[in-house]
Amino acid sequence: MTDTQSFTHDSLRVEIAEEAQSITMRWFGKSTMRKPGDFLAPILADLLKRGNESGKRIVMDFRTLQYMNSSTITPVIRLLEQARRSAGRLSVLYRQDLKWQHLSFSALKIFETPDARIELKGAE
Amino acid sequence: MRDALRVRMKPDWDEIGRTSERGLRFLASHRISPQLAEALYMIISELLENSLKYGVYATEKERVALSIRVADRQVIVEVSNPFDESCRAHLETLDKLVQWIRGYQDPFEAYLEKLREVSRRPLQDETSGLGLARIAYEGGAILDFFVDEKKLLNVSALSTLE
Repeated sequence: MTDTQSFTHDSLRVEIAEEAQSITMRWFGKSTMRKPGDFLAPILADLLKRGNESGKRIVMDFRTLQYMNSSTITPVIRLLEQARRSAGRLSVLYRQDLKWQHLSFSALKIFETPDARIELKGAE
Repeated sequence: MRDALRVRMKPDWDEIGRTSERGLRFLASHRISPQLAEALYMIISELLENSLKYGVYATEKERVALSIRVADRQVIVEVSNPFDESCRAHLETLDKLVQWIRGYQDPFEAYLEKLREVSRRPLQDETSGLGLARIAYEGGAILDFFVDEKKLLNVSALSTLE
């Protein structure tokens, strides 16, 4: 059974679906808020907590995201950094055929861990 | 076909998307590749966001000015906003940041360094400089700025057409 939660702010919608092996957060639309952290930080903190408590891999799926401003990158990289420092497992999925997604997300590979506990995967 | 687009924008966050879309339509009329247009959209949006974060809008009439010029295989996006002495610290930070980015042969390295730095900062810190580093890296643009005689801060990004 999949339990899905949906959160919307301005033109951004995120959906969180918990499955047997993973908790997936899918991003839709555009993130152009002035302070996206106000909206995203509690959602991401809860996601990390759920991932750590359940032992499930967190999947951040950005493939349906159309645009994000640089202010949105901050809460995302803080989640990556926090997951890296905890025992959490986290995958970031992005579209490598979209130049902006490829450039934005491939740069975040600096947060990957050698054991693939934190990983970034480009897909089409 | 016009070589330049000039828009005066109300300093309202909700106007950024509409103004950036207008810039995108202007660029489409110049048959700029979708990939470069995507990068220029990001540049326009990031510069407009900065103009609202750091500009001083003392009266209802004050506006942000956006200019996009296409000439000689180059696109120059310039955003200007009212500015006063209270913004001196921002101007110094901007100067340091632009020089710092230019100091890297590859703007990708500057961007990575910014990512590392931002990952250690408080979430609410709005002065990360990530937007400008992103313009240089993802937008492949050369940044510059000056304060003119009307006390307007002009920040520009120059991109080369592929």
